[in-house]
Amino acid sequence: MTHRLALAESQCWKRIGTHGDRSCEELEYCIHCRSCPVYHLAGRRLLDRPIPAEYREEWRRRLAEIPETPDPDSLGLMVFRVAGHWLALPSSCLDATLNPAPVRKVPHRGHRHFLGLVNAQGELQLCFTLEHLLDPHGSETAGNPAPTGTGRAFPRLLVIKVRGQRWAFPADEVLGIERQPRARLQPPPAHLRLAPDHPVTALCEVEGRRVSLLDPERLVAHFAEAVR
Amino acid sequence: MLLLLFKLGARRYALDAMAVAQVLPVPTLEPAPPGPQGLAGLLRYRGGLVPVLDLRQIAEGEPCVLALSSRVILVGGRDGLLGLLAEHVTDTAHLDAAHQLAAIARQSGPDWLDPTLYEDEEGLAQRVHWAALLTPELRALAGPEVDPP
Repeated sequence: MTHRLALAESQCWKRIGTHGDRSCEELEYCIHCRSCPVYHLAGRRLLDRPIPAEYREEWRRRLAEIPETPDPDSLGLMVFRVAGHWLALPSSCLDATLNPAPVRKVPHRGHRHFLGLVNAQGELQLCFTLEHLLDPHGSETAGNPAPTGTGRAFPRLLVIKVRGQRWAFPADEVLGIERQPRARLQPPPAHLRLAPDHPVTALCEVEGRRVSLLDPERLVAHFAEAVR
Repeated sequence: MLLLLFKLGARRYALDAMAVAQVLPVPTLEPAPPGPQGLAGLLRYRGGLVPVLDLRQIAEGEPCVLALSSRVILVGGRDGLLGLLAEHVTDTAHLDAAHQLAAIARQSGPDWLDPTLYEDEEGLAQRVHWAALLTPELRALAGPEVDPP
């Protein structure tokens, strides 16, 4: 212990360690100084410094705060954009948000909504498009901000998991997960209500965007239809 | 079993990590009412009050030296939280790792200390039974029920 302490005090990693001439015998076992107990000890000793002024008062204020409890009656929505339309799925069915990957077409399986197979984290997944499900005279005209308002939109490959099965589809931008109170969901427009298996079940507003909420079961039914 | 290690003066102690709700930096405390031994003050925590004991005051009769490594260890749960002020709260250890913290001796002491001593390469450590420290008197000092994090 005292030997280690003396080494830590002398900043041995700068003399004989990986930042020095590498003559330390321990390097044979540690490989790098950051895996060495002496280095850890030196790091812990940084915490032996006296408490700065204001530190205790700042923590008194922070710990006294009553944390906000999330509204139990709200929905977690994963909000994303396909073409000019903002869509959302319950975050509970989201499996992964991945970087875009090339989609391989499947011979003799041509369907305009089935894009092909995609490598999602080492697993082959069926990949679909959502574009045909978008309402052509719907949200795009409803004063939505330009799709790339910030100029920083990154396309993503989204993977959802419904009833144990994974499905992939590309999105042009992912906003993230937003909480929405159920009371603020609005019914879909009349022409969608007349189509009982249409995946759009509700509308809501997220940061000034009109977002169509999709039902995962119905969405997956559409996917399954395309590969049947 | 995972233990949270800390020091009081020169001696090392350990707490069962399962009992620890949170390890907090040392904030300014509300002044303690006179009475309970070792009571350092009351911590305003999430809208409630939690009594904070200075463990070194109880063990050695002098208060903890406050450094960045000194912490308030929040223990307990639904029946009440208790803050334990200790020094060098920077490490944990696994009790079941054979080369670490082997029990070596028995001795008697106050009821909040486990008589068994444990040893690892940095020396001996003694386990703290925090529940023996949360007397009904201290429990009465706490304000309305606070849910542990």
